[in-house]
Amino acid sequence: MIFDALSVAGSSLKAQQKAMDVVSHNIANINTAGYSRQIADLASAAPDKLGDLNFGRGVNLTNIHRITDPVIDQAQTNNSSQLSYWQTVNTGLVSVENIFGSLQSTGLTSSLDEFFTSWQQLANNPQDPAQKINVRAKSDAIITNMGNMQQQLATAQTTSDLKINQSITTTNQLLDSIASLTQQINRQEGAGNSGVGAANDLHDQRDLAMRELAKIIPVQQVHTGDNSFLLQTLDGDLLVQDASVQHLARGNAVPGAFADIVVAETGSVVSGVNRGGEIGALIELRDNTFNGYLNDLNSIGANLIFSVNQAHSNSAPAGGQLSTTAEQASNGTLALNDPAQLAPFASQIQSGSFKVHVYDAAGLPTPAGGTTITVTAGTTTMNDIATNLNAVAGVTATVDASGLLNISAAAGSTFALSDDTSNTLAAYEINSFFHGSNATSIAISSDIQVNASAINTGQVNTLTSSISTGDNQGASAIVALQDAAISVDGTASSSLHNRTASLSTTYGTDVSVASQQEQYRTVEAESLASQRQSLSGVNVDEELIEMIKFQRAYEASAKIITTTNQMLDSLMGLIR
Amino acid sequence: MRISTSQIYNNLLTGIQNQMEIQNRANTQVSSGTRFQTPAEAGLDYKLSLDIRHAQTSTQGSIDAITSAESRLGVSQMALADMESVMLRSESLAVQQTNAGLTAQDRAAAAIEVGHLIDRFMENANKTWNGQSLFSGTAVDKPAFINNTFSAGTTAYTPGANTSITAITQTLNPNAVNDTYAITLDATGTNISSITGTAGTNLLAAPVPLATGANAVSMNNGVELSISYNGIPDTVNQAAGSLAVSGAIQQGTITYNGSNDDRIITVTSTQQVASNIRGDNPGFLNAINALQNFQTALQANDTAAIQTSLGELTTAGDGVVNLTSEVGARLNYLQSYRTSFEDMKIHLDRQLNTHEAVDLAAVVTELEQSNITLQASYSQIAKLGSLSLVNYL
Repeated sequence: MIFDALSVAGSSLKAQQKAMDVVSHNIANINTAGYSRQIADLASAAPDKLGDLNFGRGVNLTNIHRITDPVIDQAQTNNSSQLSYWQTVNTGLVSVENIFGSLQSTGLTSSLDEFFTSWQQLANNPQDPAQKINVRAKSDAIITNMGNMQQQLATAQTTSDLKINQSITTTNQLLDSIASLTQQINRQEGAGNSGVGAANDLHDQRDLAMRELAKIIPVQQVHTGDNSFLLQTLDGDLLVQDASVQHLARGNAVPGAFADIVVAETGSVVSGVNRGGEIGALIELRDNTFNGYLNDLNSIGANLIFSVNQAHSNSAPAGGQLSTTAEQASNGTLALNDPAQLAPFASQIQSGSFKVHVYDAAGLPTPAGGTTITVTAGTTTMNDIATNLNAVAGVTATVDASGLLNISAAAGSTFALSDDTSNTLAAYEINSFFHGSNATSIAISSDIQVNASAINTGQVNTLTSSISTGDNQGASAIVALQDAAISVDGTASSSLHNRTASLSTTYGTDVSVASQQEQYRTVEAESLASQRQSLSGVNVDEELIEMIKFQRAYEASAKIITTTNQMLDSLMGLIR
Repeated sequence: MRISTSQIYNNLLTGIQNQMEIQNRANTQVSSGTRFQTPAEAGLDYKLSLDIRHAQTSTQGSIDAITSAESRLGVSQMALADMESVMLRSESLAVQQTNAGLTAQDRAAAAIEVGHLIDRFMENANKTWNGQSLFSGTAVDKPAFINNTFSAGTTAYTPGANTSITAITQTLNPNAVNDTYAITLDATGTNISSITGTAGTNLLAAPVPLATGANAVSMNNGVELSISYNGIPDTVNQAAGSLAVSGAIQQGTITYNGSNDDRIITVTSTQQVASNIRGDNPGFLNAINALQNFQTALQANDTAAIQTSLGELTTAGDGVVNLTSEVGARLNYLQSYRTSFEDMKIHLDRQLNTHEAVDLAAVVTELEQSNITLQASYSQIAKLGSLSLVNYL
């Protein structure tokens, strides 16, 4: 019987030593990301029955389990997707902050204000050539501003798309890692394990990898009846099944659009990746946020171009002009507003007319009041316009091989255009101020680029055909656009100032929402991390106390062995 | 609640990061003096800032526009004031020259002075400012008034029963008038018995003999007609035909040369004001005509005409005073307009400052609180190293 005591003490020595190993492992991993503290499960050994008595057989280490809460883990995974989504949105928005200006330099808004102020100054001094140069300079500034904004937003879109590729590479690495860890877990635990002998550290690593993956794409782990591991996108597309992986890749390039994200093995489009995570944020930035800003910016450009051109093409220089060439080509055989016409504002043409006034060498109109050129929407072609202009004595008109209308005065004569109610002149950029269709293509008309004096300020008197040097009706019409609600592109009617200010406000609101969400998700992440730490984190003091407990138990067991040994010595002494 | 070791450090780190964010934001606000700088910091506030700045730019543009209008009208007012003094001097001269004791020589001398006064009036009427004609409307590159040289205009002769009178033209015509003349021969066909204008008055003092070929006929309105007659004077009947003269301009007449449109100043995108007085206002030509008539009367030593001129000069002088008053009224209107915009500018400046300026006291207080919190956090982290069971084992 005395040997039983040795055996019991021996089992204790082994159990306490292994428990010390667990404590040591916990302290060693105190700073390991994703580590869950482990607990050594000690249980008394099965008793021996001798007679009517059951004698204990000592202690065994039955299991080592990790302390986790699946609810917190799942919440952390979900939070990872959302936090990463809003962090990426916020970072993306901050990257384009400079183009929306600051109070020191309010960007497009101040450029637009300066543009209209320059027109106001010209309207009040229409005969001053310096004012025309100023208008051209301010127009250049607004074009440069719009161009920079457009370019930076387009670059931000492209950068977002390229980042998606990097994220896909990281995603595939994490998917491989998760599959590999699953394979190792299965190998170590065996199929259908009941929790005993769990590969705790591998589970921690796989959980961590899942949280890292969730930062990139939102995922869900599906629990199956047969204990196999299944990882899907939120919309149910399979990513990992045990050791089997479906990798992500970019689909075929689509002209004018960005390539989809597909399953590399099947080529089918992956769904649900845009519902969170870094990739979801990058898609949101690329397709909605930046694209929305670009659309708004292009709308500002389109409205500025067409409305200014409407006013400018109805104006004329004092003394008339010798020739003018349209800057938008037409198909001379199609109706001016035919949808097949390439001129961006051809759809704005409506039934109406414009006037051409011809002046002889003495500057006298022939005839006074000019000649009306009628335009019927859906019928009149550019060739018809040329024919009708050629019927006017003193001017010739041709549609050249490029489809551009050219109007020239006869020798010794000049001409002027006015009273366009059909929008033909503005749509085909005849006698226009701007060239282009939106913020991407906006430019100053080639005539004005060469010579600022080609800027028109006055309008032809429709009855007498006279044009005065000091007339400012044309310039005033452009000034009036500053606060007028306009829309030429189907957007809600609004002034150019409101459009530009709203663009900045939209950006500011987007940043505000993203920052707020990021803050909320960060607090949530901190709370969840704290909860996890509270449950699964290692406390040094706690572990040291455990260590002392196991040390003392070990020392006590050793004492039992010593005592038992002394007892055996005593027993052996009796024999001797 | 169980606390892990990492949790203690993580919580302190989070707190420090929060305080650093507060410090960073407060430092930016203190150094810039504004609550925010970018739309990212305050989207809607930034929009309001843009709106206020837009209004400021527009208001400044309006003030500048009013300044232009005031300058233009101010110079016009000075010119009109000088025209007023010309008219006053002319009226004084007219009063003096009605004196029956004055001789033709005296009046000729006065006529010379009136000539100078006319020149001075014309100088003012054609005054330019910054190279722009003040009173010619939008035709700023043209003088407002021109002194016309003789122009015969164009003539069209419609023969009556007497078809032998052809090619009637108007040649020497210092007092050219646009009119239609009925030319009538007498019963013998040897004389032009009458030439009647549309007013129905015979413009011939006496019948004029008609010769074959060229005939120069002076009428009592100062017009001279050149008539070419191909017939034989004793075979024609009385019905001679008519002559229409158009586009004729008398030598020495002064006419308005500008446009019929006002020079408009664009004050705002929707408000415009006229910044000029146009020369086609009757006040100008009435004054010029009165001065010219006065000069003619003096040259002719015609006291009755001088008396008539006195009345004309008084009326025309009043007209010039009215023009000056109109400019003054416009300047007053612009002044009140300016005051309104300047008030608005001050209001906008104040509004912008109130809207954007940072509450320094609040920010500095927050900064100080954050400093204390940070120092405490740092101290706590330092202490944590010694607060462990490890140090007691």
